[in-house]
Amino acid sequence: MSAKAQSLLTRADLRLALTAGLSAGLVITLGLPDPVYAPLAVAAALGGTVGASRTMGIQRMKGTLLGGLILVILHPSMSSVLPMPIGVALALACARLFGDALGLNSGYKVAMVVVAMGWTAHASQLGTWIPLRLLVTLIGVLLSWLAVARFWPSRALDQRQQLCGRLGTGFAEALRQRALQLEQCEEEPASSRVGRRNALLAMLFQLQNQRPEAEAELEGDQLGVRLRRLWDLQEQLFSELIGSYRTLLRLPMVPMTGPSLSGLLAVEVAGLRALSDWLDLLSQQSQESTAAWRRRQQRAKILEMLAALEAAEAAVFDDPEANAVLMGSTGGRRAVACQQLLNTAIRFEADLDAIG
Amino acid sequence: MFSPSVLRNSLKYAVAAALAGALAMNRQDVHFAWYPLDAVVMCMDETDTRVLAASRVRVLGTVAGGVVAGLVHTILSGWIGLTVSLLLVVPLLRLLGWQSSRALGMLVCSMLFLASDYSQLDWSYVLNRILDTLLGIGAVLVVSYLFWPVNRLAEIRSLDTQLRTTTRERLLAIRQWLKTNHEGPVTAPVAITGSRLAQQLSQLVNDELRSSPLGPGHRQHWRQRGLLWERINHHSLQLQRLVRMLPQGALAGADTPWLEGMPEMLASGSQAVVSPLAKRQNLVRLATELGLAPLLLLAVDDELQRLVRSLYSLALASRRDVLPLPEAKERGRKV
Repeated sequence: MSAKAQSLLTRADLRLALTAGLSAGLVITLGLPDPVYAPLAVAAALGGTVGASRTMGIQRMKGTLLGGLILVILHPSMSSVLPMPIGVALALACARLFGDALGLNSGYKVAMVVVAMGWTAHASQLGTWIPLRLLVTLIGVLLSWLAVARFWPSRALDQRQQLCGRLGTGFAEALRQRALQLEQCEEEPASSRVGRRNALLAMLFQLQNQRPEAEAELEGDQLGVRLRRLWDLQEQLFSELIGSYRTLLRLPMVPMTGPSLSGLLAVEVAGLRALSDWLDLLSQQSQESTAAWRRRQQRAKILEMLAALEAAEAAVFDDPEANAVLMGSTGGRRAVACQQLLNTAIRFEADLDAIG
Repeated sequence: MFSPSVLRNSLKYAVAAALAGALAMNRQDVHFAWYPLDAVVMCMDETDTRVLAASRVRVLGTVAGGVVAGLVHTILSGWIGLTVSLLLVVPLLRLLGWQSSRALGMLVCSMLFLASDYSQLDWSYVLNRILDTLLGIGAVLVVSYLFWPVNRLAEIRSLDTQLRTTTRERLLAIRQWLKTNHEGPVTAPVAITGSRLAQQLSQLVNDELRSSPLGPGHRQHWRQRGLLWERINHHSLQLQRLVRMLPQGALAGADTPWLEGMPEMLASGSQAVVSPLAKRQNLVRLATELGLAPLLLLAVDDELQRLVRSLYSLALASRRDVLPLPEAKERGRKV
């Protein structure tokens, strides 16, 4: 994210500035009065993705309508009897109240801008100004949609897929590193452990925050239903991974002496590596048939690891010396955390099969 | 028909707009009154807690938009000038971290370039319009601060209550899963609600402690409570996931006093203490008797210990809430 913030001019910036400027140019060329409303509509309606722009564009149109309506009703009756500040204040309060009642989340602000402008700057020609204002807003909204859907496409669906890929590789890397540390019995400082965990958690939050935008791009058809289900599964997978990863990070490094305990540790490490490989395959998201085949292979390997883990756990219980370690407060918790992690992957694959 | 919060927000808009409108009329020609009025509409933030930070960014965004438009105006005009200034303003605001003022910056640029009396556009015009806009932001600040002072603590307390409810439901679901034999529906783990609430709570607590380091936020131990909630959320979630690896009703016949009282520890102001946890050796014996994986029960025990410790610390840290302080009573009435 920091690398992105540093770049001088991003595609989204360029798209916003050019679309807003060109919309003004278009309205001027068409000979319509008050071209200023076109860039304002673009500023409000051009979201980062197609989904966001659709939602915001609809809000913008509804808001303009509501603002026009309030003006038509209130201005003729109140502007002659009340001073301007009081009249505008009442009209704005109405816009807020009715905007909420009509389910406008951001659209009520648009309604308010229409009220403020109409009341102060265009009071004498409301009859022509309101329809023109609607038209110019519509041009701005349509241009925004064209820009984000056609000229410089930016789809929340693609962003979501990329983000999922990054989360998958992020977890793969983190788990692989933990496996290495366990193997070498080296602990990382607490601050860098927390940092690593928080970075993954922030990405997960981002994935969830982005979801409404992506959903706005979905159709109600079979594919849309399937994708929604897939996203549920992905979010569930990552949130379970983050939970168990956190547990893994908090458990102390205990020296694993004795054959049964070091056997258990070896299986844990191998299990974590198998899971990392699976996560890497999952985040490649290639459509080739070999990719699916390789993931199936990896799933079989994870199942093997789960069986090996159970066998190693049983061996530890048969070893009286190792048993004493297990009776300590966190004894054996790591093996179960590994089991949880591997189970998460298996369950994800099974659920994925179920949705086809 | 209208909820109290919507009525309150409508009133806020009305007062701020009346104030801005009156100031604008006093200052000069009513013709430009839309600058402060639009600023009021765009700046009014309905989540009160971060008004000052948001307003500073908006002031800076307005000034940046006006200055860039003024500079570009000396070489270019019309929509081409507008496009060029937007190409400068939009990345500039992002690079400076002032994205929330982007709409306002774009508004100022568009108004300056596309205004009907374009011939008047010079530096004093630009400066005056910036001042008009700042007037609106000022009105928002006055209304937000004087009439409805920030009440972060109320919001923090409401998050605390929500976390209490969410966690209690989770603990009840855990108990139900382990202790009821029949295959009734048991709530499945919901991961994100709790972590989101905990994150919001620590953010608000940070804001509150920054604005008054030794105030009631400090006295009521909110920093510690934020951390504890985060921990409780994590451990209870992991506990629920572990428990669901056991078959439903796995401990229905067993004597588990440590499990029974757990949800009650979360009742507000409760002094409930759960029975000491079972010895790990006994747990292994229990697992063997019931045919369960012993390591799994030990892991449940590990999470439980951590959870109970955090719940206990939370109860200690929240003790001040229930003490009959006159100040607490007073605040309780307001909320």
